[in-house]
Amino acid sequence: MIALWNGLVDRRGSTRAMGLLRIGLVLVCWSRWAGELVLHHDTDPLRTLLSLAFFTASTALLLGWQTRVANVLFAAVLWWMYAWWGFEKGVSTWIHHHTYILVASVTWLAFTPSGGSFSVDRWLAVRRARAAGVPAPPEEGPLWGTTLLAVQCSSVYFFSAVDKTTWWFLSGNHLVAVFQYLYTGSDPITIPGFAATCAVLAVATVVVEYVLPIGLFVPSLRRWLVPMGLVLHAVFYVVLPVATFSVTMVLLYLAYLDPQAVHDAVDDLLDPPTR
Amino acid sequence: MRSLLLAGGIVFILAGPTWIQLLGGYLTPLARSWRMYKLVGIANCEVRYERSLPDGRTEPVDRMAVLGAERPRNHGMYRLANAQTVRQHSQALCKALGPGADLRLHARCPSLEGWTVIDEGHASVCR
Repeated sequence: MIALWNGLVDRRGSTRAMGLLRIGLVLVCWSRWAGELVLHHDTDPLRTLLSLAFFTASTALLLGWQTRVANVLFAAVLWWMYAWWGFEKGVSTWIHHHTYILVASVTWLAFTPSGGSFSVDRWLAVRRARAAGVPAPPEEGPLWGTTLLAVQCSSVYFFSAVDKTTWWFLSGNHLVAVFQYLYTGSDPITIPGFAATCAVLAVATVVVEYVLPIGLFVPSLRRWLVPMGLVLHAVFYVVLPVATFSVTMVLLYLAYLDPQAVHDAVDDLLDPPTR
Repeated sequence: MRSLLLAGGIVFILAGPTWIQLLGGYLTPLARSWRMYKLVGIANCEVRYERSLPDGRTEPVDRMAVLGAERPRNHGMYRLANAQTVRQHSQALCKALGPGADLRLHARCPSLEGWTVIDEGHASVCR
């Protein structure tokens, strides 16, 4: 157990997966908040300050310029939005689950070397090395922070499954109520077998949500569980109004993957091996 | 240092939902539960109306058509939130159908514990 823990703490590897996650998370944050934070939306001075801080920090993080500082600043801005604007000022849409998972993800990202790849920081490092006539530094760094991102993702699955472990949900009745609320209002859905299908979907969802949080850490199971999780989120995304939640969770899968495998996959994409 | 940060982060991630979902805590800026969609669909009763015909048969009633209403989602009649709104809606239907209408209602409202049956259509809701 101690060896496993030390392995997590001392883990090093390619920074490409975290570079991709960094870019993806900022784009999802823009997708969620940019519309509300454009300057004309609210001309209150404090809100203007928030908008400027949001766009400045997130742009620097997207580009990977002074990445660590930008990441800490952007996480601070998101916490300001979530805790103060959301809880204290009553902007209730900023304290939803799909917004908190973004806040948490950007926070844990700050503990990773996400600026080591696909970034201005990397480009400058390569340029400096070329000017000095030495090889470019390797795209690698300490990866202990990726465990935080993976645990965050697993925590969502596990506690969501715990919450669904009730007869109301497992019988399919909650899904019937949800689908009617979303699709037909108070009129019943009269598709034959609909209630039975909801029961099957409910049980399957809970089983998957109990399996994913542990299984995604197991390399041999990942090749089956990652596609399963992607399908689950794709269905949620198309069928339910989950906003940015699904895409954020899918991005967090990068934290489970073997960093070297992601690195090699990018190499293959950019320079496919010849046969 | 890394060891402390990693352990602290994991504790932080797990403590919020454990406290709220398993120990009866409540949502705070630092404690988050993962109860997605728990309340979605709860404030929406399921209703089905039938009308008795003179020959004894019954036919389904399209409640919105009887009231001359469209079915946009923001329409107040689209989702009936509770038993009281179901009853008010039923009375509006009775009024639209005219005197003597025999309108049977099958309705149930969801809650976190299950469905609560409001009416099983044993008698007309038009009195």
